[in-house]
Amino acid sequence: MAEHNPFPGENNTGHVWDDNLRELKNPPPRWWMLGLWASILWVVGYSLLYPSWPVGQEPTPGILGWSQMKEYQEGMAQVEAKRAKFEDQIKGMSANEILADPGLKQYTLASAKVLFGDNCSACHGSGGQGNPGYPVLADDDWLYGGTTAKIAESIAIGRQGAMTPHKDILTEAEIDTLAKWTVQMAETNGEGGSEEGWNLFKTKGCTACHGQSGNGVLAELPGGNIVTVGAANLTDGIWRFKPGGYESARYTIVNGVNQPSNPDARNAVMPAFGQTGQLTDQEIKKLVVYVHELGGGQ
Amino acid sequence: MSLIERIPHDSAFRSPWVLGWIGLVVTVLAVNATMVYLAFATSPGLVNADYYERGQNYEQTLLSRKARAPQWTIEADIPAALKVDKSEWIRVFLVDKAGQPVDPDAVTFYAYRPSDAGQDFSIPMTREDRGRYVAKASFPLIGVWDTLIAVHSGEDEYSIGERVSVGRY
Repeated sequence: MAEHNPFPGENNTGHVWDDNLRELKNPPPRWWMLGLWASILWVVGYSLLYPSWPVGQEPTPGILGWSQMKEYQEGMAQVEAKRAKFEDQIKGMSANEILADPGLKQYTLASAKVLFGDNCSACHGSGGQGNPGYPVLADDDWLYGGTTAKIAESIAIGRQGAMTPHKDILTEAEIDTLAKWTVQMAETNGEGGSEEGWNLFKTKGCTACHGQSGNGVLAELPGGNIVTVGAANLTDGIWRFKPGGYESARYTIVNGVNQPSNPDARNAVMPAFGQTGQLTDQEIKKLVVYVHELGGGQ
Repeated sequence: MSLIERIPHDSAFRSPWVLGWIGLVVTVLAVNATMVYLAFATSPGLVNADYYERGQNYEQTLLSRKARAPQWTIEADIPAALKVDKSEWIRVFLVDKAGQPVDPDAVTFYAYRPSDAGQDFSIPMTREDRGRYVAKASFPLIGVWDTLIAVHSGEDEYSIGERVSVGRY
């Protein structure tokens, strides 16, 4: 750096390198200064209008009183206001009436999808396709009936079938025969069961729950309703407990279903979503429409 | 004398067209070389290094697994309409040959991005009920993912895979 300023009166700082390289005192460009002042004004304006500076637990509120949470709540209120029209309509209708109204049915299906995901899909599958140990809802095989009334009943009060363990009632040979007969029935849609198996089925009390023909129906009522205790239909090839087949059938016959005294018994319990207050009547009605429309509603 | 002045007057290299075409060819070759370099330098490493040895043992591995297999039924429930960055519950159900639920030592959900190993992730699945395991997964990119649910029982591992497609909102 030079000891003296060789360029006096040039508006430089007096810092000179290599004889002629010097630092000038030029002001920043006007556009830059305008930008700076505009930024400062914007910060001041924003701070006055919107929540910004943290003071204690809460930020300064801002003159406009705006907050993200308030905006979210207003948005939700708008959505609720739009839904309210449909919700009010649904409230006074039965599930069958909703199914008959294309617009309301569409709304109900969309609305119930979330309910189904939150309450039903953990066991019955994300698409109602069922899972090992849990019944399929997307077919026409219904343990307790597939009318809207029966579906509503299943959701509201739950289901808990029961089957006696037969390990102390039947001989090993009889259990073996019945397990094989069950497989034959499943493979032939109920037409190919052995005579020996049929005799055991009819004389050992199986018909009391599975019905005279093994289809799980105890009586048929007018209007398509059926009387059933939830026993499996043995004639349609659909296994209540996957993977099905001889081992599955044998295990169920030996250990039974839902027997508190037998820890090896099958567990087949549908919780009572209505009685326990987990779902409201309106929510149950929506789920009835949704489940009915999964593919197998009667 | 400059370079251009040293080129004879009747030489083709004085024509801008010839120089242009040479430049084009050089550019194409340079881009190719760059892409080849990038392909090697940024390879996501999806290839098994010991593929030959693994292939030799394939039959033996299959047979020994089959001999030890406990005849479980393993079924996964992955929601059909997956959306990018949206968390979804992934479940798996395990039952034995008689259809009774079974609990293994550990269950893990893996998601593989076929085009980029750097995006792969895995989540340990937690026990929700007897024979029922769950994990909450979120896929960060749209497109195809290969999922695998691995069940560990003792020294053995059983797995089921499913290719899923993740869409936009």
